[in-house]
Amino acid sequence: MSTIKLESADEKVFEVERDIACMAVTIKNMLEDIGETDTAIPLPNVTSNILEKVLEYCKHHKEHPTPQQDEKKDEKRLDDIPPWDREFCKVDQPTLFELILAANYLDIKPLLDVTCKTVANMIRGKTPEEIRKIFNIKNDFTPEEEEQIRKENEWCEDKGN
Amino acid sequence: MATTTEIDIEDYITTKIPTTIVLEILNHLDNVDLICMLLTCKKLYFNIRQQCNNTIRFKDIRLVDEKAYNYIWDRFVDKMGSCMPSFYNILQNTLSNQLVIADQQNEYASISKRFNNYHILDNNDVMSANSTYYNTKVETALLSNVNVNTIGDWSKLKLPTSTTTILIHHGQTPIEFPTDYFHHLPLIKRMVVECSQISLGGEGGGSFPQTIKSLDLKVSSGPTKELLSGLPHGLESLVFRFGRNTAPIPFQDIPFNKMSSSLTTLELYTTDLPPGILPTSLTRLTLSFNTSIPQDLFKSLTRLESLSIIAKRLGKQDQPVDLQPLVSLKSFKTQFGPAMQFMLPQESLQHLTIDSFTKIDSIPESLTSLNISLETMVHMLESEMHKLPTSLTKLKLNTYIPRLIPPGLIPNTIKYLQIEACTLVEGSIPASVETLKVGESMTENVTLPDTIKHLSWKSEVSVPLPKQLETLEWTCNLLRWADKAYDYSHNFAPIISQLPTTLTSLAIQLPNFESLNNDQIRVYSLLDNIKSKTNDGDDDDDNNDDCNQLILPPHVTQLTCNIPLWFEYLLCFRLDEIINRTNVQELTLSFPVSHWVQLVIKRLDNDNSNVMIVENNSILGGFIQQQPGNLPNQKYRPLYIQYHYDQRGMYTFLGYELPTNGNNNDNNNSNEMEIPS
Repeated sequence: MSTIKLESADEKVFEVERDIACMAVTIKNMLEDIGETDTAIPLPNVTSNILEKVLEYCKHHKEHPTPQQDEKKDEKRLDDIPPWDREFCKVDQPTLFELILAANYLDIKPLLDVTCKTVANMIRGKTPEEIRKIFNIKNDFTPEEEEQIRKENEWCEDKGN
Repeated sequence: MATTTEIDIEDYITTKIPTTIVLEILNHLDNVDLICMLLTCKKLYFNIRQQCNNTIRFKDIRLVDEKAYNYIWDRFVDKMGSCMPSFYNILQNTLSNQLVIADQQNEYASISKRFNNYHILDNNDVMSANSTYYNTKVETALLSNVNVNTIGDWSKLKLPTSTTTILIHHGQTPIEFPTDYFHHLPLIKRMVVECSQISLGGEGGGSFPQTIKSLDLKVSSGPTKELLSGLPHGLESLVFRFGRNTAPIPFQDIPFNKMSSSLTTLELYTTDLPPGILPTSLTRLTLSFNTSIPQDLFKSLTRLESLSIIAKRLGKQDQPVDLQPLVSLKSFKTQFGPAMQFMLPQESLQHLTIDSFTKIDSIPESLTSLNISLETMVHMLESEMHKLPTSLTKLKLNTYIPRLIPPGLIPNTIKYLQIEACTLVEGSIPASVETLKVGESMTENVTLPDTIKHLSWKSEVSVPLPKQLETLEWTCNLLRWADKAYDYSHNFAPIISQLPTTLTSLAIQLPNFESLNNDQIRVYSLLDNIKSKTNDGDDDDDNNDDCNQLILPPHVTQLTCNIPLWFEYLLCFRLDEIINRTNVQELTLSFPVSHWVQLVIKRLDNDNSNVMIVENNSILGGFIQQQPGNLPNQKYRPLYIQYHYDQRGMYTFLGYELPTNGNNNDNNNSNEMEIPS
């Protein structure tokens, strides 16, 4: 079974099976461009701890392919994260977002999908203030702007009289 | 779930994540969650909301609905006009893949002013390449009662070339298209037509576009032989919808040879059933007929997964119909009494629905769900010829006369149990059941198993509730509900102190109301329709006087209130009670057969002074700043959500004042209640 080497941003080299690495479309395209090589492929946007997680994800899904969902495939559902993926995404927030960035850079669509769903699940049912607290988003509206938004979207009228 | 306890977490969402990924996250959110997310900061509210409103879409919102009687999504579409203004562009983008073209007489004509893609024809109308409607992202187009005389001729009514699905609703009148009308639509894949007769131009009825893969026809006078001969080659789905007055379609007139290897779905009402003619590619078949079934009609359908048989007239079949060659059959359903016997496939069948006239040779071991009359099941089990398989987890028993369910009748493999009418005794329900739905019931003081998590109870008499219950739906018979003179309020109110602490979702009816203005206005209040404790001679409302006390258990976050809809009354509901005295986050106000509103409640501060209330499927709603109360012990003024119905349509609005007059009684529906047909 052929292997290739991947080098993380912090210069750690991972030797992985070619099939597993090629689940990342970015790596697959690189290999197609450069052909056979013993040189480690540099991945300057991914640190070693994140690359390790990404490869864990790819290895699991290579060995346990997810069945194709044909029903309402375009519908964005939040409650359909498989159990293994749900456990995989139980990480601290920086790791989760770094996984999103890595999935985006390496072009691993299923990983991007499941990590984005996990973030969406964290938002579900919350008020704007609760969302700010969870993600440390600064409320940069001025009181006047907040008042204007509320006035613009006020729901209380007396059409009945 | 990712932890949220880190100190000084970096703000990834607004500082490190590219906009494309933020949009990917936003597209996973439900509508009200999306609104809350966009309201968190300027980057999301001003930059992303405004710059990307062509990319962001709300979920499950549409103008066109194939399941609605006139194909307009009427449950929500009238309320979409009151969408929160800041999110109106996103709503327009959501609807941009649909186009409605309707006649001036259309009952939703006022809607056209609110939506770019809802177009009412007038005398000078021309929809062509120059029209603003032409170069859009339209995929689905609805022609609703379009009268070509209004605009002169069809050439002025060109649909966008991007259209893939056309729905034509022409009621009980014929519609005639010119021969080349569909030529400019190269992508059309699906067509749904409802009219008395359709002509596609040319001699003898014309042809359907050859690109069509799915065709759904409800032609009340029956499609002509010539029209049927114009069905396209390679059709994958062919549905002839039928109603009470629809004419049957002669089997021989359908050119199955054109679709012998492509057709997977067929729905048909026919008078004759010649053998050996059905395409072997079929996977779903719904057959309605008034004749007997030939022995080998189904024999070759080895790919068939779903078979539904509807007999329009009671007939008698001498020989059993053999379905055993259907090795892929997963679902089999009979309706309206074909007095026939069927031999079922034993290894593939998972879902079986049979009525009381149908006989079967045996119950397959592979079955997981069974829908059967209670009498038939009892008879089958008593005869000892049949045994329910251990794989069976879902059982629905139909009966209209309440019958006693003896202990041991329901097998202990059942997790989902639905019984239309019954009397339960101790042991009737096995401890395996997690979901129990009971219709009309004379049951009293029976202990239900604590395994039940979801209970739907349609009776005026209460029952001790299972300890682990999460969902309780307690309603009464719908027809009794429609009887103005019936007084069921004595027993019919949940006793809050007896609700399990595990309960998160509650659905109840509101029989009590306050009548105002000579009974023109009816005001409904949750407080008037619940009891805090048993009424053993005590005043049962004594605990409800403290305006700070919760009136529902704290974990109840979903509440459905069923309200009778009499069109002559203006209906008002006390929303402030739900905001201030419950922890409900999702409130559904429902009429007997439809929803009024389904509101998501977001309390924005600790004292509830600011609240955001929005309906997920219409974006009706917005912010509410509660006004201080005028009375002692009244923190906030009563706030009413009101339902007004008149000749111009239906209106839902919010106000602190009750209206001084009731509904407009000029409409023809006065004094009629919305009851199921």
